[in-house]
Amino acid sequence: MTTMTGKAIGGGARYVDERLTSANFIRRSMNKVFPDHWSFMIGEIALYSFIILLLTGVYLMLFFDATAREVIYNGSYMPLKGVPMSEAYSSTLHISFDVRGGLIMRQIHHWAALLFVSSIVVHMMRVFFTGAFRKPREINWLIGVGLMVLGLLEGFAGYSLPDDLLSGTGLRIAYSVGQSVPVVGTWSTFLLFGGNFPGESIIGRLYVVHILLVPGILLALITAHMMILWYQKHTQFRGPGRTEENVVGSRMYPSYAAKGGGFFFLVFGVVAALGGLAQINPVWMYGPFNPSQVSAGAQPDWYIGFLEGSLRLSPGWEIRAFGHTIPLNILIPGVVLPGIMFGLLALYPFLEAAFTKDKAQHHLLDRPRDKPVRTSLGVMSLTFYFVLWIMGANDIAAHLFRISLNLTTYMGQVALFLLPPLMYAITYRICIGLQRSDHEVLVHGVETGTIHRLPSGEYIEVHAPVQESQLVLSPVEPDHPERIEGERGPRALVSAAGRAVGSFFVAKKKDTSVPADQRERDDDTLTKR
Amino acid sequence: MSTHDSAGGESLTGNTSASAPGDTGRPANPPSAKSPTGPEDVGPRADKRSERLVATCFGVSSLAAIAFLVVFWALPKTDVAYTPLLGVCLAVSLFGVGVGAILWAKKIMPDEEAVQERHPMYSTPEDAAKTAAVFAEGTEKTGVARRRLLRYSFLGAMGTLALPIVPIISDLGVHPRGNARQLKTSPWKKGDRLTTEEGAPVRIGDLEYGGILTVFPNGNTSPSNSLAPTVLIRLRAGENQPRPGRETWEVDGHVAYSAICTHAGCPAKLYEQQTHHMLCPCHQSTFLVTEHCRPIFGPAARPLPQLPLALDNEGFFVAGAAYQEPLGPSFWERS
Ligand code: HEM
Ligand code: FES
Repeated sequence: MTTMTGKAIGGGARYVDERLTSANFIRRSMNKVFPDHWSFMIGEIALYSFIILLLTGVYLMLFFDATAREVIYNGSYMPLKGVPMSEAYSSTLHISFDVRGGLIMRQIHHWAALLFVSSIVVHMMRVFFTGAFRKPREINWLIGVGLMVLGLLEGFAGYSLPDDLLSGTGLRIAYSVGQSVPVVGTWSTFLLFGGNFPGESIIGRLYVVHILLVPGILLALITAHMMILWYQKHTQFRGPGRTEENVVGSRMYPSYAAKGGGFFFLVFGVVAALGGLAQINPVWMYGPFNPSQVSAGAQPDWYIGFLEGSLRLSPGWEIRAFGHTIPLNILIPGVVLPGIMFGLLALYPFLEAAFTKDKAQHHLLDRPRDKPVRTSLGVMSLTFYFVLWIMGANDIAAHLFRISLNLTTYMGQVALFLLPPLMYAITYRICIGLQRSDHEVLVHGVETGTIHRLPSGEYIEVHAPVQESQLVLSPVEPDHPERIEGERGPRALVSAAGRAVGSFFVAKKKDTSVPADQRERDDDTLTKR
Repeated sequence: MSTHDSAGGESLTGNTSASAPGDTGRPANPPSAKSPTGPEDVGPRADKRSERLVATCFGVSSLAAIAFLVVFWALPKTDVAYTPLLGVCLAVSLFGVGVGAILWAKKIMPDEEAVQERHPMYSTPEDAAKTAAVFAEGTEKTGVARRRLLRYSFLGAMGTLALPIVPIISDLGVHPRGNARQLKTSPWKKGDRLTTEEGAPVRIGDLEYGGILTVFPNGNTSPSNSLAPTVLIRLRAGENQPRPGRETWEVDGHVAYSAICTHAGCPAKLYEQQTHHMLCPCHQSTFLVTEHCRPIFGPAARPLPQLPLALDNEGFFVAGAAYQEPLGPSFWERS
């Protein structure tokens, strides 16, 4: 550091410190240690895409006009010239065709929204499967579930704003879902929409929800999420020198700041490339909303797909009694089921703690295989979700595979109840298989790749005993040793599959083919990456 | 390896005991134990090479940013390449910074592995007890436990403060009492002409056998009249199997049904001539047109409501009566 910059920084720091007494805080923050693991970057992708959403969103606000007032289009998109449409739709066309760089901003915004929701979901999966939600991190889990639900809501609201045919159809369905709630449904949808569908108010109201209400809450919750994370410190995978009492990794400044900051630009770069090169939501091709029209084969954004699928799978049930109607065919798939799904998700940490009677604090992560029940429950739930999601596009699947639409629905109904338990069983077996192969490594040592020829002519591979530093695998006992002893046939297959899957989550893989003397050298250094 | 002198300020290894434990990072191992990034990366020449590489990334970023400006202003915005080129320039300039920063961290900054102690995630029993005592003392001073009048009048005031919210919220939309009536009112009256999207009235002969037409009441195609869209379908004589009591609702093989799906309100208008199936594209409810549009597949629970047809004295189709039941999706107040 040259003395010039040193002086400047020193002077600036003193100025701030004499007002905020910040030196200790800043030093501690710079020295804060972050564990290096790729799966910890997923949450950062969510954070970065949120920032991109704010940046591009503010730009779009400058041009978008969220009113239902009817205008005659007179912009430069020829096919729609002279067509009556809402001001909202017309201003979206204006951004797309008549504002320089407007289209790329719209597309970056949309791609960032997709990335935002996707990364939240994947981030949540990593938190779930590694047990990062356990005590003391339940609050951040709850905040996370809140962020996810709000993320879906934010996405849906934004998607509805252009008032095109596709989004209008989505709003129509949302209206019916709201209306299906017993007793209060009709009233509350009338209040929300300012009358019967579509009304004049909904676009303006969704705009307030999309640019103020939900982003404000998201910002507050993300801040809380980050502060709690900062205070509690990250979890980490097991590994040499890593305990429940420490964090091993690189320090915030300079290493992590440089890598994390650089990563922000990479994420932004990917989204910018997508926004420029990959068309998304070309609203001009759908036309303005019109309640008497609908396009076949239309798809919502991916994160709404599971609701679409659950509505499609529903049988035609409806209760009519005592002068009232309860449309179960909307209420159950559209309100009750998502309520249960998100409810269980939010409660999971507490349920697991209650069932396992686990009151301890946890800072070391589990490898999924070591918690077969949790992992299998997770895969089971994902399967359930996935069936719903696929069924949101069953018409496309039917078209693609040339099978009857009705058949896909029946298949979906069966799969919804059959596949999740099946996947539970399969996952459980894979976990046990993986545990056993870990166990074998512990007992027999690691393969060295060195082949010896015995005097008898037989070839054997030399196995080296596992050294302490190689115990990146948690030294667990298999869950069911007695079962494992007895099994031979499927066991080999399961553990082979498992080895492939397993490398996914291994914290640190040692190159076991290194010659023994060189390995020795690695052992006393913990820096090898 | 310069971990110890500059950025850290005070020596990292030395301060574990001096300041609060758990808040200091220190290298897990003597920095000299191993060359972090492999032997080929050390030495002044490799160092220079890394530096040049990182600087190149930043340079490329600057160039791409300038290219962005050129594209932005020089290309007509209607050019097909306009948006893709903007995207590429922006992406390259962002990537340049991102890749440069990460390479800087990986190739030039020392690859340290630091260890930090965690602080315990709970307060000592004494601290907890002290806090509880402060709270208890404060509460005692308010007298809230003893002074029932204060307690209940305060709770009452908080409760009544919620009241102003009720009219504010209920004025968001039309008066709640009118809701159900509005949903139950037929948008078609007796004698309304069936008109096309363009507003033309329809007469016998306008539709072929197996034809389908979306019609509106008396030319009212306003989107706000969202329950009105109706389909007019021409069947062959004898194909229709009307419900008892509805024999007179068809006119010369023409039948009319609400186009709004009884499931969630999408227009269910995909009509297949041969099977007489009418499909709703939203969740694939299928209605059998020849049997009063009863649902034969999918989530819909009720048939599409039928509009009685008649001819006026000029020979145009009109509604023989209003719809006899509420249109569209179900709701609580629907009987
Ligand atoms: C707006 C959406 C979200 C953002 C921006 C976000 C961001 C982050 C970031 C940057 C981290 C630190 C890096 C990491 O551990 O991956 C983190 C940690 C965490 N997040 Fe999120 N997250 C979001 C949603 C969620 C959701 C949906 C959940 C769970 C339901 C969740 C639960 C957690 C937990 C428990 C941690 C601590 C993990 C640990 O220390 O190992 N977050 N979040
Ligand atoms: S809206 Fe027609 S099937 Fe759902």
